[in-house]
Amino acid sequence: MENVITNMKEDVRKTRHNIVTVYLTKFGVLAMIAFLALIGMLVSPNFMSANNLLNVLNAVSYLGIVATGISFVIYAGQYGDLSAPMTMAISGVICVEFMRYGLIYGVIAAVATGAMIGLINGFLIGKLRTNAIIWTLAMNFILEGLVRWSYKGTQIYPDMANAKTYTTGFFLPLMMKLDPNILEIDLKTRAAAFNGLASTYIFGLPLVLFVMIIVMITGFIIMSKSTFGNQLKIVGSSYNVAKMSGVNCTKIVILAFMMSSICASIAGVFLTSLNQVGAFYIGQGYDFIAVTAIILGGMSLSGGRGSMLGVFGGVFTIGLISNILTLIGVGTFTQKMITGAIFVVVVAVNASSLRKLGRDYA
Amino acid sequence: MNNKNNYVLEMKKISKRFPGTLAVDCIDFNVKAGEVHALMGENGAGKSTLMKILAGLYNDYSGEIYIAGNKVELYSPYIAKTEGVGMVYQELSIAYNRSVQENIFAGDIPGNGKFVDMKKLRSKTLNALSRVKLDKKIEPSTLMKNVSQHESQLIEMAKVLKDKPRILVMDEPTSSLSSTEVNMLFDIIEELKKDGMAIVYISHHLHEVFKVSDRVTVLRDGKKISTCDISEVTKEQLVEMMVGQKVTDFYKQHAYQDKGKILEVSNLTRYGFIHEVSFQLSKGEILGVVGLAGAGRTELGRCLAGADKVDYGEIILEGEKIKLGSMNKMLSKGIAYLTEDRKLEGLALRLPNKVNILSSIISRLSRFGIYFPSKGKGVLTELYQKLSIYPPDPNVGTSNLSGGNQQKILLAKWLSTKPKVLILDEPTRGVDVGAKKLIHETIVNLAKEGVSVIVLSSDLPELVSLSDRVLAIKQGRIIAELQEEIDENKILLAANG
Repeated sequence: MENVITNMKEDVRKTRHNIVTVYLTKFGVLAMIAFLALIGMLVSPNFMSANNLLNVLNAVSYLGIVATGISFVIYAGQYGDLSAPMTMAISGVICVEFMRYGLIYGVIAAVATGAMIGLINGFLIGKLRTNAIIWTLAMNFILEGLVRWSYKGTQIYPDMANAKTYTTGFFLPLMMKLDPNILEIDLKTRAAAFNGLASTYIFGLPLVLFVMIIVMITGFIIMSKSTFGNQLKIVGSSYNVAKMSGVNCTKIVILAFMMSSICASIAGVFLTSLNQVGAFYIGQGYDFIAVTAIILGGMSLSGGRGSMLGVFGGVFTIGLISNILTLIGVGTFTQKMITGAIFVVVVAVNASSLRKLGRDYA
Repeated sequence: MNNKNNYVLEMKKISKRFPGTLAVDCIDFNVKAGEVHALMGENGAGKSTLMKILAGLYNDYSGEIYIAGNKVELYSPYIAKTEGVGMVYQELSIAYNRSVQENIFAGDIPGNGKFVDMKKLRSKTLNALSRVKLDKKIEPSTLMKNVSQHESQLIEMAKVLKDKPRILVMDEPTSSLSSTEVNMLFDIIEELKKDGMAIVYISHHLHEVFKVSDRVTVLRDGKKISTCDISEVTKEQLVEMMVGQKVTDFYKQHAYQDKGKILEVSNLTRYGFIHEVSFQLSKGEILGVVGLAGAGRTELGRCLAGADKVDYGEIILEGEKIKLGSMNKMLSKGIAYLTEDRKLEGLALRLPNKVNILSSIISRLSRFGIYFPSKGKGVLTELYQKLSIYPPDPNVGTSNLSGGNQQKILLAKWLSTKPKVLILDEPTRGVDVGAKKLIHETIVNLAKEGVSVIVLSSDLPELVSLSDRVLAIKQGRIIAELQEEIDENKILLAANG
């Protein structure tokens, strides 16, 4: 080329970064945790004790697992997975059904159930492009009906083993048919193993806390390091751009919903074990609190923005708020109202700060 | 205030800062009654920001604005409207399922507050349409979706004019108009001038500016370079002011030698869009495709790239028959498509540049499901140098870049895939002169390296200077092929069939 570019001009406009806004969006959740810790110390001398903080962590472990999953859906720009509560419930029920062959079978069956639900959600939302909120809400409703219908309105207890038990449920009648001797199974020890899941401690720490940490670390690696996670970022930031970049958007959305449902089913197993009963109401409300925690952690509802560390921060914040409110004697119902109000405020602040930064487009 | 100069609008020392940039830097700008004042500058020069301040879209500008001698503070679109600022944007804001009259009077429907006075609405609409000479052509109750593109643009103008603005701002009003439609628009502007309206005319097209405007102001990098009477400047001087340096010659034509066939397309058909399109492409050839709006140019590109479903047809790439499939598949075979819609389909503006550039090769930079962005670093540096992208930091968010640099990022994104056949749909639309030149040189260099390029463009000078061969497409069919001594007239004639 003879005529090399001669008019390479420098842009003379100065650049400026507003430190405050940058840090607030980046470390907002840390500031919140510090603030809550301060309040907690003022409220109760017991607050900062290792025991209390451990209780907080233990209490939010279930939420943490669910939130890790749902964060993938939000990261994909799909607003949330409202079928999480029933996914938790149905996975718990399935686990109770299969744990009579051994705990590990129960867990595998539960996770497989979650994967199935995620696959269906993902297919309908990714392939047929239905609205995620509406569809997962419908899915939640369908699953609730399914559980209550197949159990004829009853609940399932892990140690319940009379002949009548095997007339209801998803797979129990089939199990009876295949193996009439199933009544002979020593259900007591297996039920005890299942019920003990939620109260198992390792090195003085609850098992479910370890599970949450493992799930979150895995989630972190998948979200930020994997091919899927990086393509998910593009899909969440702009679906059309991802599509025109040769990213298989359908596959990505399906995988995101499968992540969500699988995490929900893991949490469902633990929650069912904690309650020592499989029933449709296990997991109720987890969808909303999880979304609140995720948004608190700085993940944007418009997708493609946020991190797993933020999700953990959000979950921990929810735990602290609940802990402090309990310490000062605020009841569960009032706590619900407060959580709802927090959601509204956080979403509003999030949206307006992004608009100020001029990043709320595309 | 003294008003001896008869200025309807005076903007004094206007500045507006965005995070990271000073978009408008202390600009003085004024318009007289009955004058067309052209506002020119490359992308990112600050034209749009200045006009958005005038339209009341920013409440944190600094400086003073006087309208008809009175100081005003334009802190909301509503204030701007009541002060007499009318804005016709480049992008239309239309409710396509509603009628013309409802669109024009949206928010101001005549009636008693409960029921709509249809008769009054109709007569007011006809009145508004008469100002853009459409009252005899369009029935007010027609649905907007049945109205043609250029008429929609005029209707948008009628909507602004019905509020009787003192100042009318038109942002690239001719970008989707044909030449006869442009002349109609100029007639309308002429009449508005006679009524004493002050008009600000933003355009990239030099000949339009010379035809329609009385004065011209040139901005560059957020600063005002000059304001002068249009009769006092030449085209060359204007370009020089916009670019900042004298542009002596435009890009050179590409001369290619036949290096053998790479792509053979036969009977490619997508019902309703393209019909039995067949052509061949050689290695290192630049093939121009011309066609009027809606002729099937973009659809051809999208079908080749696997973005749209193809009903039947065959593609043979390097002697191997390719089953038409998804974009992902075509990309892995070496066919890449640069979209014409940069904002919607090209770049996720909120992501950093490096993420955008590498977005289509994520899976290629992965091993065992883990993505290694570090492997893309070499490509990134190379592309940044090749395309001289500014600012040279790949961590900057794409939204902070000027239009020209965003287009370079988009080009870089597709270059990173190392395509064999690169389809470029309007590669320089809405891009400033400097970036345009650079993009053209990049395309020519690519062809020299043996990459075959298909340029889908409505920019005739671009096609003339780049193409080795031009195909004309009309109603989804290829109707002509130009090979030698391509010039603008020939292309235009061919495209019109």
